[in-house]
Parts: sequence; structure tokens; C-alpha cells
Amino acid sequence: MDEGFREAELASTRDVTEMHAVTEREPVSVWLIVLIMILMFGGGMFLWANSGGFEANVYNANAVSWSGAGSGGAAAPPDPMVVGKRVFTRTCAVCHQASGLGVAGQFPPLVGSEWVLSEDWHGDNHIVSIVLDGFQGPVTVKGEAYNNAMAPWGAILKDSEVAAVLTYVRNEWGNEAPAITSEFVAEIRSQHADRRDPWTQAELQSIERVQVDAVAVPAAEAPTAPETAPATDSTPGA
Amino acid sequence: MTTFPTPSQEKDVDASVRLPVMIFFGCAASWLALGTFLGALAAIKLVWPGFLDGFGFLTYGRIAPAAVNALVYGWASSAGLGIALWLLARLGRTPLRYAVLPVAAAICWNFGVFLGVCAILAGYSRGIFLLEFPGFISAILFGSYLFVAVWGIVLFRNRSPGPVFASSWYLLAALLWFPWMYFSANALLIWYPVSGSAQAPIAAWFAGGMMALWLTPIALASALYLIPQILGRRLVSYNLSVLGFWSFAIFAGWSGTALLIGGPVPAWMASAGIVASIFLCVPVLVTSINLLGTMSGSFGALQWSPSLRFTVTGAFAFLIAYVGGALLALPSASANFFFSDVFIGQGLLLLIGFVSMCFFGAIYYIVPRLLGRPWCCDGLIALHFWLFLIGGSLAWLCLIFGGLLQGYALNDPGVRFSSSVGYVAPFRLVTALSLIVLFVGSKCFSALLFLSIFRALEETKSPSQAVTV
Repeated sequence: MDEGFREAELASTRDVTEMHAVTEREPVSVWLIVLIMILMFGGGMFLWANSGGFEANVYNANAVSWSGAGSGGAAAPPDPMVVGKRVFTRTCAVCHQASGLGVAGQFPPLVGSEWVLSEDWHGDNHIVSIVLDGFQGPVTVKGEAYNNAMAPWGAILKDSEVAAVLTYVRNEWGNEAPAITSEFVAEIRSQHADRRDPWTQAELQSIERVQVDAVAVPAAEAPTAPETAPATDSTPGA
Repeated sequence: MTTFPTPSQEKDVDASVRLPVMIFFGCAASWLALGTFLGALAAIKLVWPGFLDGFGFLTYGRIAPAAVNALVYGWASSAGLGIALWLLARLGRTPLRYAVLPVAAAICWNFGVFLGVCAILAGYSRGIFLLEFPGFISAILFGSYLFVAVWGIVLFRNRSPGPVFASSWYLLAALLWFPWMYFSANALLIWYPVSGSAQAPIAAWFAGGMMALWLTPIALASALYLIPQILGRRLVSYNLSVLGFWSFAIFAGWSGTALLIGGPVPAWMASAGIVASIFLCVPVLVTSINLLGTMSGSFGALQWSPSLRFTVTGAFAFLIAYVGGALLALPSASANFFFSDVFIGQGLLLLIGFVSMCFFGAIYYIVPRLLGRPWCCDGLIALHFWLFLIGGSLAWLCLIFGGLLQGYALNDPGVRFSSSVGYVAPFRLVTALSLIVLFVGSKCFSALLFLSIFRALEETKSPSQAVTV
């Protein structure tokens, strides 16, 4: 700053009120008017799309149109692939690796695994049981032999999380298999509610394979489904 | 026929508001130093949680709200009230009568803030943003505010005949908006709390309103006055300022509820807040054209005028903060960044970058006129400016970039929560250092102010050496 700046600032100029007392018609830029119109239009369209009809009981604007049509109820359920990836990263990736390839000789791969994809004698109920109660002892995956232990996750993960992580594993890295539903997990969990020990390959092989689409599809699609489920209850009790 | 003031009239008007305004400024400068000190301490504890461990009143949960409240109520509101009184007296060309009442109110206000900050440090915080003070302290603040505000309105009522300049509109509006907000929010959240989720929109409206309806209008009033006054030139689009004021008045109050998106309130509330934040760009653009457009071609004046330097920095921050605020209000942005440091950076830009810089500009302009002598040390003014510019922009940039990283990490299902904290740690370290720089800057400012007051007092004792300006 220059030495003289303080005096320069203290020098009195014309008073502000005096300068602005005259009404002048200053030119207004056309671009400013255009910009203001664009802003107002964009804001108006946003309100039109997201106001939920200004209803007091609409909490999710996406579920209701401007005129109030639609339910305005709960939000869409979360994508199981996103939830599944989160659960997988937290719980599974330590052994099975983020790539799903496992570690040769120690942790079996999930990519193309007949256990994961329910091929051959393997069923969707087997893979759910493994996640819920754990696994131990010798096991053959894709022709390779492994002998290790897997921790049980049934006490830590909710049905929806088990369903999500299995759906993720079955549809990531080129795998392709039907999604596992929370209802299916709940069903398997209730079947083996008393079980405390990890499964072995021999034990699982003795259980009849059950596919996910054979059990209780939610909503009105299969009212008879709950009746088939209790029928399988007799096997695990033994 | 309108008469315009002679310099001697101006001196009479200045002399009448000298005591209350200087008390407000002196207290404000002390609060600024304390607030930035506590803020820097809180920022350090965010990096090293073990720093100063073992003192209950120095835990993060207490010093962080204490810093914000000291800065908002102690520094910005005190300085704003002082600026409002001076500007209303100056623009209305009318002296302040019975100055003893605003003097008493100024002391009560600052005593209330002192009690409130002590209460927060002692652990009696109320946990609602900017309403942390216990209920009886809010009552003290509200009562002492009324005494100052009534005097401000009386100054406006008794103004000399003639046109009313834009700054007066903003000041009068702010003086009326603040008690409305502060009383409603305290009554509904602190004194007689409403139940359940109805608290959320009130709290969001109040927190947004403290910035948009209280501090922003005063800072704009000061900038709209100082830039044409110092340059001696009419605002480039003064006719647009009517549009700027009324669109601001209509949309600003609505903008706070944008933060409620995804919250337990009807969908239209959040959407109305988002749209109001977008519409706020209209007054912001119009006012920026007036402020920065008037400056264009005269940026050389920043060399000799410290007031202009601070005010123009504040005007740039105003434009960035409010346009950025509109972008952050968009659902896609707030979904990612609401729980990240980005919103803290936004608050810092508004409070330090915009409001504080404009208030510094006003104080640098007003104090020499009240004390009748120029500022003493050019070097200290320059130091204060550069420390605040560097510290403020560095802290803002770190919070924004660290917050962007943190926001994306929080929303990536493949990233653990602890990693998202790890990513932002180096940015928080630099933020803590920048806040220390801001603290040193505010010490320069308060040293400068108290040195000037001290010297002015000395001169009145030995009037033979008095300088007439």
C-alpha cells in the first residue's frame, strides 16, 4: 500500500444518496434477462417435477406427479448389487478377494464356481447355508481340492444382506445365476435354526437341492408357495 | 428540495453514534479473535484427537459450536449491528439521540454472548445449529437486540427528506427479519419445543435465515454503500437494485429448507428450498453486476483503499458462495456431499469470505471517521488483509476438495467409512493450519483497532496534538 492511501480514502467525495438521487434509465443487458428467464424456467420445471403435488403426506417426490397421481409411499428398494458389493467388500473380500478369484490352494474362487452357480448336485439352498452357518473341511471347487474353514455370518448379516451378497456374487465377474431373495434366505435360516456347527461337503451333499424360484415368491404371484416350504422342514431336523 | 449534507453535518452525525458503534466494533474484534482461536483448536483436534486431551471444556463437541456461535453472534452480529447503526445515521443524515440506550444494549448483547459461549463450553449446549445458547441467554440477546434495532428504525424514521438509498432497504429489512426469525426459532425449538419432525424444517429455516436474512443483507448494504462512495461513482445499474432487493427478499427465506432433502418432511419443503436456492441466483447476479461492474476499470483503487480491498474480496466471495450454494442444493450434489466437508467449506466462504470481508471493509471505512484520525499502521492493515485472503481461501479450497473426495468415498459401496475419513485427513491438516493463519490475521485486526482507540483516547487527553480531518 502507498503511504498516502489513508488520506486519499478519507477525502470526501460526493454523497452516495446524492449520486443516486437522479433516476436514470440505465441499459439492461439482454443476456441478463435471458439468463434470468432460463433460471426461472429451470427452477419452475424442477418444482413441477419434485413438489409431490404439495401434499402434506408425500415424502418421496419421485413417487408422485405434479397432479398428485401415484402412491407417494416408500422409496424403491435398494439395488441388491450395490448393497451386495458393500457387504462383499466388508465380509468376503478378505479371503475370496475383490476379484472373486480366491487364493490358489487356500481360498476357493467364486468366479465360475459350481457351488455359487448351483450347477451339478449343488443347490441354491447349499450356498445360503454356507454363508449362514460357515463351512469346514475338505471341499472340491472347479476340480481343485481345498481344505480350510469359513466363518458363519448368519448372526451378523440380515436376510436381506445375505440375499444381496449372494445375488452380487452370482452376477459379478461374468457369473450369471438367478437372484437370491430375502424370503429364500429366511426360509433356509428357519430350516436350520438349531444348527451351531459349520457345514461339511458331505453333509450338504446329503441335503436335497432346492432352487430359489421353487420357494415363496413375494406378493400375489404364488399363494401356494408357503405350503411347499414346510414340507422340506422334515429333512434338516434329522 | 432535497439538501445534501455538508461535512460538518456528517461530523455531528458521526459523533452521535460514536460510542455505541465503537463498543460494538471493539467487542466484535475480540470475539473474532476468540472465535478463530477456538475454530483453529477444533480443527487441530479433528486431526489429532488426543491434542489437549483431558479437559472437558476443550472437547471437540464443545469448542466447535462455541467457535461458530462466537463468530456468528459475537463477531458478525455485533459488527453488523454497529455497521447498521452508523449507515442508517449516515444515510438518513440524522444524529442518534439518547445514545445511552444502544450503548447499554450493546453491552448486554455482548454479555449475553459471553454467558452463552461459557455455557456451551461448560456443556449446556442445546444441540441445534446456531441455537446452542441456553434459553434464558437467547432471551437476553433478543431483548438487547430490540433496543438496538428500535434505535435503528428510529434513525430511519427520522431521516432527512429525500430518496432512500438501496443500503437502507437492506438494513431496514434485516433489522425486521432478525427478530422474526430469532424469536420464532427460539420459541418453537428452545422455549416451548414443538414435537417430532416439525423441529427439522424450523431449524433448517433458521440456520439458513441467519446467513441469508440477517448477515447477508447487512454485508450487502455495506458493500453497496462503500463501493460507489469510495470511488465517487454511481452504481452501474442502480435501477436493477430494486429487482435485486425484492427477489432477494422473496427467495432468501425459503432457501434454508433445501438441506432437508431426504429428511422426515413432506417432499415439497425440500424442493421449494432447492428452487429458492436456484432463484437466489437472480438477486445475486444483479447485485454482483452492481458491485463488481461499478468496480470494473477501477481495480487500481484497491491499491490505496483498504476498505475497497476487503469489500471487493467480499463481493467476489458473495458471488461464488451463492452460485455455489445453488449448485450444492441440487439433489444430485447434496446427496453426495451433504455429510462431507464441502458444506463446512460453504459455510466458511459465506461467514469469513463474504460477510467478514465486507464487515472489515466497513470497519476500515467507519472507524477513522468516528475517531477523527486515520489508521495508524499501513503494514498491519496489509498483513491483516493478506492473512485473511490466504488463510480463508486455503481453508475453503481444502474443505471443498477434501469434501468432494470424502463425499464420493462415503457414497462408494466399495470404500469403508474409515477410509473416507483417511482420505480427507491431509486436507483437514491444511485447513487447521489455515485457521491458525486466520487467527493471527484477526489478532492483527484487533491489535490495530485497539491501538487506534488507545491513541484517539490519548489525543483527547492532550487536545493540542489533535489532528483534524
